[in-house]
Amino acid sequence: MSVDDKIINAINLLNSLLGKNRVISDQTSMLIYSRDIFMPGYLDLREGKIQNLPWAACFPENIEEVAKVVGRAQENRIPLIAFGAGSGVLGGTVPVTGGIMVDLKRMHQIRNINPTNLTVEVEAGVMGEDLERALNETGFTLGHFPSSIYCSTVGGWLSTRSAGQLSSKYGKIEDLVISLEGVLADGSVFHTRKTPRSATGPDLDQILVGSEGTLGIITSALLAISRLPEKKFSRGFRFEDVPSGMEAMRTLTQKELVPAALRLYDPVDTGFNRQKLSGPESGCLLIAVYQGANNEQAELKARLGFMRIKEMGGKDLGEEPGEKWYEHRYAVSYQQSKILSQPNTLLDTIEVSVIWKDALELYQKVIPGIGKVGLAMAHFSHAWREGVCVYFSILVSDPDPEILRQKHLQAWQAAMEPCLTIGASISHHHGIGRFRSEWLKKELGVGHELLQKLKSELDPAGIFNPEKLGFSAKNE
Amino acid sequence: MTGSNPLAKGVLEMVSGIVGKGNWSFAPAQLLSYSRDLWTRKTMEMQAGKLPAPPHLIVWPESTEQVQSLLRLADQAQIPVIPMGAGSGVCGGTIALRGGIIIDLKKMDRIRNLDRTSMIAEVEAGKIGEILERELNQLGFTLGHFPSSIYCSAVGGWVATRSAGQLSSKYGKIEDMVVSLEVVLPDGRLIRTRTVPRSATGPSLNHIFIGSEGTLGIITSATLRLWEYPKAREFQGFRFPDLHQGLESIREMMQSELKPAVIRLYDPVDTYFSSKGIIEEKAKPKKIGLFAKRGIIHLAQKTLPYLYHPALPNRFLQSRAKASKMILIFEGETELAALEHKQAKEICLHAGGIDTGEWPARNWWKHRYKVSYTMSKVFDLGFFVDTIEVATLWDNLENLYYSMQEAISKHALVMAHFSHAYPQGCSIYFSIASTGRTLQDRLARYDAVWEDAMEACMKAGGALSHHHGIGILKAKWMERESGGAAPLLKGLKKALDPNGIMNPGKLGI
Repeated sequence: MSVDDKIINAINLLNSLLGKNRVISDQTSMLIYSRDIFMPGYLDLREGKIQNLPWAACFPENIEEVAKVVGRAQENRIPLIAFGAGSGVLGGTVPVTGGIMVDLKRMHQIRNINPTNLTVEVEAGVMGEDLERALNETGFTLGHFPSSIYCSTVGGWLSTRSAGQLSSKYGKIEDLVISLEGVLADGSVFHTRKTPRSATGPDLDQILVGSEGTLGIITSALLAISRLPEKKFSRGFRFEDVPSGMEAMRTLTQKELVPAALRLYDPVDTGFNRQKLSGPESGCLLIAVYQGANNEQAELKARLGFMRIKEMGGKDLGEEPGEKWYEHRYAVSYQQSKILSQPNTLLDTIEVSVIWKDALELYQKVIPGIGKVGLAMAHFSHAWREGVCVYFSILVSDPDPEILRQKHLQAWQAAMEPCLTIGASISHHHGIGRFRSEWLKKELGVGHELLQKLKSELDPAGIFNPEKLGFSAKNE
Repeated sequence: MTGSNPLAKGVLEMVSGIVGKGNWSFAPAQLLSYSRDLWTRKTMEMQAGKLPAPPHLIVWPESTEQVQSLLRLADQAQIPVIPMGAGSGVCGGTIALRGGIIIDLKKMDRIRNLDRTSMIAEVEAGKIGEILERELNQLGFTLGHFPSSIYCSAVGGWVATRSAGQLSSKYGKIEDMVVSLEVVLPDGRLIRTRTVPRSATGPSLNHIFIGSEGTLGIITSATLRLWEYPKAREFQGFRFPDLHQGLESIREMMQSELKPAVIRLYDPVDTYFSSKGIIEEKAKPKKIGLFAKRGIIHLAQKTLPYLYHPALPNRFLQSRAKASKMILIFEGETELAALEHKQAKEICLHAGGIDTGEWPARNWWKHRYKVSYTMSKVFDLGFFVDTIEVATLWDNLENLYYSMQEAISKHALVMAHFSHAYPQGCSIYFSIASTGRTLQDRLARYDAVWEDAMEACMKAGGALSHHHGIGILKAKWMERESGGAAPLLKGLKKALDPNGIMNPGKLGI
């Protein structure tokens, strides 16, 4: 069958299942679906390269419709790419083998905010900001604040193991999942048990979460919510250097004093953010923001936490840096286009995860490595009891687009290789998509072969999001 | 070693070559003692002289490499393999249904590595809980995992069954403590998941094996999060005029972001008898035998003559007893624990609770592991006891509780406590006691209890198990439990264990 025939078949199939007004295939729309926010994709766009166009996109409105689409696509071996809002940064939704985009944005019901259970039942296509606002209006919060909150969906968060900026308090998205609904590759639907905990075999939610559309399509989720905090207690501190600031971070996490937000900027990142965050002239900025539904507890933790930070050498910079960070906390995601519109430049971010013991070593290896090809800075953005997320920001420039691509790849290698040798994880919360596939295989080793086998069992024809997570295009 | 063994002689020689002479056995006494766990049904059968399914061989490997070689051998020869820690399971999870080799991991009992900076420790699967906790305490840490089986359960068993400790409301269940795992796959290959705080690298490999009950591989070590040994511990008791007020207080505490180390609420029947027990204990200190103990054993002893018709005493007790006892313990950093204690008191008083001081909680603390070690005597008296633990969300909790209570009441004396709480819901832990005139009667009644209890649980939307796991006992309800996601679990089984050697007949796969 020629590609044109395949496209016509796919469109006819969708039209018959969902009706014409919920199927699109025009070239402009297909161009938009052909990419996410993976940085080198901008280079292709600038050069006018058109590639990876899907055959069509469809907008199912309920789980039954998704199941029908999956069932028929399976019969016809049509690739299906589940799509939320396209804010991924690793090519996770790029239809590399063509196929149908299953855009879930019309599954946008917030079905039930349950004040007794502190849960929200929400469909996959609900945008982050809409969900948070609806929760706030009823006195609750999800506590999930990725900087992409205006342009990312619940389904996307779950598929990629997203983290919000207050994850130290509320957890990552995988910590908020109570149960999931969705469709497996054979078109069967699942609704996992709505229970706070269970001991009923492996936690299947945790196998679907992070599967990036390769094992199933998540159509809705029951998520844990919290009561909305009344107040926040913010403070900035200056540390002489990264090691001393990191030591303070670690101490807070391990003494039950971890704030909702705890961020340490290295000297370059501190300099870069000085104006925006009223940071110190030199050294490292540490931001701590305490908040919680239990205001008395948050206040006590803030008092003890700030005291501890000062004991450990932090110079108190007052409320302003913390307040300013809070105010601008989503801004970074929406300012990159200015830099990216410079023809010779690529900006990117690389977030990795490492235990405290190895954190400094990793940081000290990666920064000079990236430094060989571009500008590198980092902040430590999500703190856990046993370790931390190091969030590198990189900037590479070159007038030659090919060399620019190479430099971008080299910068990534300079971050990924030390992770693999030290034993850190190559991703803390952006996921794998397509770009990180080879590094993923190295990180997981035998574990990746295991996942590949699982993929082959569940989706033998490989229709779900082909060539992502390092899975081979077609499973024999 | 003499005697014949159904395993081919070549297999025995190879096993011996892998683990060394002293590390395997098929002596009848060994096979007998490894033929069951603490599943009540098997205890009853054994008491009547009916021997359960014995394995063909017990092996005690001393290293991960040996486990790898053993699995390679078993996979090639297609011999069933059952990993085992300390055998304290209560669902038949380690019973050698089809014979084969039990791989007992108790000789793998080292703390391989303790990283003080990251506050994590890699512990081998065969480490017994209490020994681990004691060693950690000496170094200034705690794991925070205190199942009542702590003296007779191992790290590998905890992870394989998704165990919960008595302090789970603060420290989490075992799945919350796992940072990474070392697992030998059925084909002998090794997976070591990354020791990292969090990651976004596809599905969680840890969660494939946590709760897999030996059906997908053998967990040989786990890297677990540690806590500093608590600086303070505060005790508090409350008594509520009724169960509902007590439950509402728990919910309010958990949703106000309190993290009590212990939060236990006893239903009116449990409260009634535990109070009786305490009064007796105080009044006649010399008679503190088995039956001055609190709880189900005391209850069963008191009502033994009525146990043939349990519906009657149940109705009597459920209509008489109204009050519910609560136990709270707060621990950790001194000022935080004190604040939590203060806030908890406010919440409980506001909900109509009566402050009963420190003593009930201190007394519970003192006896907290006892129940696990007094059960066996009960069976000698011709009745049986068991526990059924389920979980659900808050708005369904009382529905689940009353549905299951009603379903069980026909067949057994029943009481419950609520011992693991979350902001979203809570577990229910039913204790049951019953009897019958013959073993056949008792077994029939035992099966009826489970049949009706699980059916009621499924109907009410509860989870089959909160922390005991599935094993054989609950396997047949797993399909319904999975809500259509069973293909994932079956896919994992096929992908990992195509020859089906790993712990066959468990988890319903």
